[in-house]
Amino acid sequence: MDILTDVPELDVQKLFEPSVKTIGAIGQLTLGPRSNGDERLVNAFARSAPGTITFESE
Amino acid sequence: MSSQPEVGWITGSTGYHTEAACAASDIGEPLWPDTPHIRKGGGWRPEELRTVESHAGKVAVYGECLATDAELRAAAENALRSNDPATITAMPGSYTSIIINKNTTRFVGDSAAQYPLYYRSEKDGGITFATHTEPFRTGPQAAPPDRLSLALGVGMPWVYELTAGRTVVAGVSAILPQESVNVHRGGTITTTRHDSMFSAPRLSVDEAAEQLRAALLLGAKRRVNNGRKIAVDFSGGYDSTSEAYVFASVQDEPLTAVTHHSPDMPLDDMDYVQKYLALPDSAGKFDHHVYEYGVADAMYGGLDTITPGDVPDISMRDKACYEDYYAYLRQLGVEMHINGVGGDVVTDMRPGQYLGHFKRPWSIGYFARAVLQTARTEKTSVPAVLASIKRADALDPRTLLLQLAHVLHTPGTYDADYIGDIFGMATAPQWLTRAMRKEIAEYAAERADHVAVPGRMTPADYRAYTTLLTMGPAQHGMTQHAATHGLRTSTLYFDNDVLKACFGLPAYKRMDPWVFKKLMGHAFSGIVPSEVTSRTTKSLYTRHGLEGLRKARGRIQALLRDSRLADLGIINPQVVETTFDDGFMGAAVPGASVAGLIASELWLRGLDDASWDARGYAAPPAVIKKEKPKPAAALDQTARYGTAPGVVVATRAVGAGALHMRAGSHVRLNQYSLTMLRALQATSTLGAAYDILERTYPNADSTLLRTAATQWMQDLVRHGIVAVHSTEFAILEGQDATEALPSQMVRVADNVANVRPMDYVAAFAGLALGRRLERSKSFEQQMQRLGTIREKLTRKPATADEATRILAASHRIAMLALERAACLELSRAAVIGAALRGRRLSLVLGTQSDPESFHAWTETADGTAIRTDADEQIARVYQPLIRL
Repeated sequence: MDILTDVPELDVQKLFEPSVKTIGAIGQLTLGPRSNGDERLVNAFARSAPGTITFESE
Repeated sequence: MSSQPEVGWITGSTGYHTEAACAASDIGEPLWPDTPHIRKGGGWRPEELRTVESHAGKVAVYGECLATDAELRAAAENALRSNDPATITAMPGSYTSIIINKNTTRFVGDSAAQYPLYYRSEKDGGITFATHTEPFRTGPQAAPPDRLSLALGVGMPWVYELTAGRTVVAGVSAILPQESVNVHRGGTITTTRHDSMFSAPRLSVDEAAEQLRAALLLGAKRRVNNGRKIAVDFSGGYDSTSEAYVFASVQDEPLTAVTHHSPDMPLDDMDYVQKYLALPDSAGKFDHHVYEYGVADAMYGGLDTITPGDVPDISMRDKACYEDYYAYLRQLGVEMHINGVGGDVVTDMRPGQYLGHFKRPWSIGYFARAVLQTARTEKTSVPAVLASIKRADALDPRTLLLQLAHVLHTPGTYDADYIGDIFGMATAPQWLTRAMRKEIAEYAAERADHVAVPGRMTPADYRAYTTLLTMGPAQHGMTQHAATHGLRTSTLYFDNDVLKACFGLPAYKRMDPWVFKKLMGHAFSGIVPSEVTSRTTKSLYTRHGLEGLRKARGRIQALLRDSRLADLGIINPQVVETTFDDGFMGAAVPGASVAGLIASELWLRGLDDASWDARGYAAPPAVIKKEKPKPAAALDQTARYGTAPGVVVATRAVGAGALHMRAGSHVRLNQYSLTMLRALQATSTLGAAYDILERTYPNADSTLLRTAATQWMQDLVRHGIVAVHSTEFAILEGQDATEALPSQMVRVADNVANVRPMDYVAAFAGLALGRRLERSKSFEQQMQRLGTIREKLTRKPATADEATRILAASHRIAMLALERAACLELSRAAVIGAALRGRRLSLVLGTQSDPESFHAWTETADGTAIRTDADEQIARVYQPLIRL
């Protein structure tokens, strides 16, 4: 409990959003969180959703 | 080809008249005695390249045609008489066919794009063809790399509508699945679509399951009948483990089953493997082996030494690891390796992709229930699921290409989910130069008018099938690699009959949001133990990729400093470097594009390293100059990772994470800062910490490292995270890193049979009160209020049984919530619900890295973690950060 007194304001919903999106067996298949949610993560490369992607104009 | 004697090949032309055919006529041997213009060579096994000859013509099939000789002859005769290419695709297995009759030579691709045939139209009519691209990129008629195809492979490898039929060699096409290329006498070329994969009558679920079961058993039996010693991966996951049981059921001898295992990874796969092997159903079926490898050696290893493949497929990423694995299998005497590739694609997809079908008045009840279920399992809200269904419905192939073209043509900042929907997950189209993006945009806009979902397919099936087809080349790459060891690698899930059985049901019947791989579960009944098909978790191997990437850092940076893709004007190396720096520092990376980029760079180097510049692949004017980053810029970039306000990134240093939270600022840790922090904790002396940092990263620029570390330390001081005493730094008091929980301490709240009515009442109240707290208070205040509520209401600790019941009840009640109800909300509800019944439970927030993620769960007073079977693994994965 002691530590909580100093916990700063967090966007806690953001923290707990599914941050892992996965691609399948040999890294090819796009799945995202698993369809039944029970087996949500596949053995694959994953990334955290960065929020935005910028295409530079150069 | 000559350097890979075990890899079988075919090359030739449809006539005698082309120069390439003449050049090829002195290698290998004729495929048939009277076809000197079609040659074969390399290490074909008899079952891999099969030919039939009759008075009507000749047929060759290569790949894995599992037909008996009689079946093959019958199908060949049929194909020679008929103009329908589907006649040759009716046999079991997966293979590409060459059909030569009096008037036409037809080339019919395999259904999974795993046995390629490349061809080039010749000026004087007909085509030159080969099973490899090598004949087209060497010799007097050598063609240069195809820039557009390389760019697609790096920036958007999953967009099948753009990659289909293209190769990385200019002017050379690849035969498409579900299509035949016909070369008529006189040299005219036509194509015929057959869509045989989707032309069978629609099946019921039971019929499809029975067909799938029969197809899997037949595929296994026929492979066993080839007499090769088979090894099946036995990972503990669904697909490969199920395949192992299928093979074991048709083989008399115990089946060689091999489990990959990284002892340095906190995974529980080995626990499941041992559990499955101990089942009565497994008795006498397996000769089990464990293949151990380091977590950092699975991906991106050996980039200095591996031999690039024929085309830059992403299996190159794992080549070094498989080099050792294949050698290991050969030591066991294995000749055929079975992996589980493809199982996911045909039997599983996100519900948002197929639920749109039920958005009709007469099925609205099912639709509502399915959306609710999807919201729970994807840990999101009902509106978010509805939005994803709407997006999926709107993205028909034409719209997708037009939107893709718009994005590529219009610089700016886009929502990552939107980019993911269009370009595919884990890709980085933003790496491409502006000029390259424009080029692809024009190509996409042109292609948009030529793509559509074929008549008999549902949009979701089309998406599933095109996804499968993007996997075929990598499976081919693995097979070719295995062949250099005298081994082959194969999967049941690419077999014609398996695909036909799966696609015999439309996606909205093949899957539902409640049962994982519903059709597969039906088909495996009685063959695969229910313990395997009902496993509700699967380990995450992300750390393999991240650790491997870090280990390969020096080589990857060298590739980027002298980037061939940049020479070709394809990528902007500075943008790419930024992404890689993120990855090296601990942030996530777009894995598909990373793999595509590395494969392409290595492949381009393998073409002809010495003559690269002389070939004139000069960069177009638009290419960005490759400049080594200036120290100041590099420092700025490194410092960028030091502080990132508003972002908390979990690390394995739980104490460090807690420190950050205590300090009221959010400091993003990376591997350097983590090392530095640990070094400071160990030494309390800046100089000594620097020394440790330098020893840990001997390849890093020492000056940069020290400067960046100093900058980072200053950030920490500014945020009040460390206190300065003269030259020494002392870490403020923080929570010590907690040992990971032993797995036996985790209770699974999967049994709702004992849940009592009052548990439901308490859980309902807990959910409602929790939601109320969430709406009205900040996180800090929420936690404080939660603590207060609990202190006032609880009289004694909850037992593990009580905690399990209340959490299970919360899960059930939450099934009806429109808003998000995932780990945090459910754990909070359980804590409040238990408190309302006078019982005390702890709410724990925990973290893990690689990938960075957060989790919440409940604990009893004695530290027993409570989770449901829908929750991810806690033991050995998550470390408690905050315990309320």
